[in-house]
Amino acid sequence: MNFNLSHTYTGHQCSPFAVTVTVTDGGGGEGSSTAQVTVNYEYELSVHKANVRLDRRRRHRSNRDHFDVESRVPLSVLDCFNPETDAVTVSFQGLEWVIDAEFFVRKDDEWEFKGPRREAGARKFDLRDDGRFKIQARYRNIDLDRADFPGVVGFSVSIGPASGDTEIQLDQHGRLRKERPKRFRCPWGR
Amino acid sequence: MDYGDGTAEGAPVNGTSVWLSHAYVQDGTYTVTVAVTDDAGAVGPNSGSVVVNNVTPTVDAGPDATVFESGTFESAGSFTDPGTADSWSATVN
Repeated sequence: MNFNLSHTYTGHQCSPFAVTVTVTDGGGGEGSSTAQVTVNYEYELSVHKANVRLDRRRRHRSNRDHFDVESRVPLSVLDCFNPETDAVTVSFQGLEWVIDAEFFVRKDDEWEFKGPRREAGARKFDLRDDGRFKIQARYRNIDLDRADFPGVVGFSVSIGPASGDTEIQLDQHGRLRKERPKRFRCPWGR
Repeated sequence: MDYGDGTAEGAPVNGTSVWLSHAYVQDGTYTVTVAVTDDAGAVGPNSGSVVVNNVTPTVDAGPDATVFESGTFESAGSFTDPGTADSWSATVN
């Protein structure tokens, strides 16, 4: 015998949800089965600080392109983050880096990941209890060139079921371009 | 042979043995009556009880799934129960 399940998940709650179907027959016998439903959601990601350094002179056998990003995720994202089961994925300009579950270590008021120092890829990811995070990564061949600056690069961070993505506006030095208020000029020349 | 659930049928006889085989589609206690008739038409009936236990349904809620917030989770599941004469109710939690 077949049946169909249909349910719309509204509002923000931490998943996965366990959907349990119980069938009872006329003799009182019960059988049940459970399916897990993960509800992904998007959060607003805005970058506070970003810096991209390109090593195009290839003085090193593997060039050392760096990017450092600081930002903040909503506390609701942390509420649903379980470092023991949830992976974290960072993507930057077409490069993707996945920290599998259980790689974060609790340290004071933050979750910390430290990657291997000598290898390309993410070096450090600090995720503080107040939502602020800091990423330091070194890659080989970021798909950028100095000529691409100033420019816009895509950046996203998925933490468990929550994903946020944004575009980072970089200035000619590869740093986050901030809109600065124009300096007030005194009409009398002072 | 009367299996007590409304089914009455002949049964093979091997010498002085009678082979009984019947599938019950509903749990309960049934009286099985065996009536052996000789060539002269004499009938020797006997009966016994058969207790059929209920078998619980086997349910498959379907595969795990991922949806986006405000998206609809849709899945198809199934269950089996050897008690085909049963009635069933289902709850989803």
